[in-house]
Amino acid sequence: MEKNKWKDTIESYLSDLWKSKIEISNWKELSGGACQDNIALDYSSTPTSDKAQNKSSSHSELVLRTDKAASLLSSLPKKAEFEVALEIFHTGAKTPEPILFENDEKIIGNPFYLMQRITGNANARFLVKDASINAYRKEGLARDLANNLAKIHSILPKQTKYLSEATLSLLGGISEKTYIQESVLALRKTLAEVPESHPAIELALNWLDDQAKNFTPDRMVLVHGDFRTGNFMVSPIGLEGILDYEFAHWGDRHEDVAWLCMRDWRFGKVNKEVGGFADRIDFFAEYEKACEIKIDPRKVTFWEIVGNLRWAIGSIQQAYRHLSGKDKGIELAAIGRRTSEMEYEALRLINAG
Amino acid sequence: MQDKPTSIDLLEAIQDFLMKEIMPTVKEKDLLSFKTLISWNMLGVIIREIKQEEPLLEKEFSSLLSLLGEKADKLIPKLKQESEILPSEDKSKPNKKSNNTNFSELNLNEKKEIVSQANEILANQIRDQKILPSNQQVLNHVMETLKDKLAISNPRYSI
Repeated sequence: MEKNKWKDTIESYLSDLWKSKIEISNWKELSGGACQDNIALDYSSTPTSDKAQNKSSSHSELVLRTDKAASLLSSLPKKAEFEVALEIFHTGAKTPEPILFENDEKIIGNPFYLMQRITGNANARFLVKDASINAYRKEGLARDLANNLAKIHSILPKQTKYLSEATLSLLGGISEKTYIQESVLALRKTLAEVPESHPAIELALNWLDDQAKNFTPDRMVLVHGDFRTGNFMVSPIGLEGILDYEFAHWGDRHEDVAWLCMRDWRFGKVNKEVGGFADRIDFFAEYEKACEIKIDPRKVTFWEIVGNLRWAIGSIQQAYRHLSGKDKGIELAAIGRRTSEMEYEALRLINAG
Repeated sequence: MQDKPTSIDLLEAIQDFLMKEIMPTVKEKDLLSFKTLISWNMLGVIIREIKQEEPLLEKEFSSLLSLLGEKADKLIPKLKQESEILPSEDKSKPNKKSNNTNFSELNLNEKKEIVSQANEILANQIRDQKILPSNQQVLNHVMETLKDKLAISNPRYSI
């Protein structure tokens, strides 16, 4: 279906579903991710029958989220992402409330879901540099993020309430013992699929295999998978919410902490090693305060090496997405030329250790 | 031989246009100014690549040659043979010429092709022989090559 018809379609879809006359007053495409369409919409509702149920009455400002034609292979389908968001929302973590999921592809061409639209700005340069949040960046951002991350990490395998069997199987294995080897194997497989050789990545992957036994996770938890500057909304008031669960999986809590510390997410503030806005020692301390689990800096470094390799391989994939013609754009094209930054960082970290 | 301005002059003119004329008009639009900045940046990558690509390829190959020896060495005559109509007589004879010289005689596309093949050999070797970063010779080669790539793709990346 053409995107310009989506608005009318969604209007009548919601009218039927909620047995109300739904009028959408605002419809705006958000720049969002490279892999999906995000649309902001406001609606008003007038009940049309006694049976009318105003399911989403608490929020009239929503976001519609759906996959673009070609998304990254490893990302979760929208149904799983919706369920994960629901599971996380119910831990009390700050995240937009998921409203509904629709699997029927006939409606707009792809499954989609609706969630509460929160205020704030996720733009990385805003988060790292904008003067309007100077005070909060200094005083509260690291604390609030650590708190919310600890809530996400409180979700454990076999103890979930909102995840279907299908989603559980997409979140990966739950064995601590084999987790690292399986992660390395997944990276090797992805690397083998691109028609390009990367001696630096091969060298670093061998190191991961060699070191795996020293870094076995203590306990598998739900990992956000893309917890970084750019994926949380912040305003001068504070943290508005965590976004983007498409890379969630069972893993080691240090994985998320390390991902947030990766050099590429510091956006020019290289010395503020946590996302370009905080120091490691402070963030680790806040996390420990939040859940009484100590962060092991050695494990963080290990997962930072894994993270850099994941992102190096991810950036190669982005380049080939552009080259395939399925999803073209200067952003994707340019990312391919950044691979060596992550390769260098991974080997630098290995060498420093 | 093309007339002036050179390709580098032209690219620099586009860079100037993007920065001085386009940037101010899209300042308020996050995505557009971001893409404009990326475009400006990529033009810089192309300019540096035009200037340095060939010497860097030669440096990379010479380093690959000392790592891989004969395996890298063989790549050159193979490519030469394919381009010759008559079968080469000295197929079995060892090549007397130093391979660095041979390599530098190739055209740019041939050089790229050979370095790409040599990288494939190295990558396979690292994987098959489970070579670790503690192997200083391999590590030095890989780090040095990455530094040279960074000098083109992002010279502001502080090492």
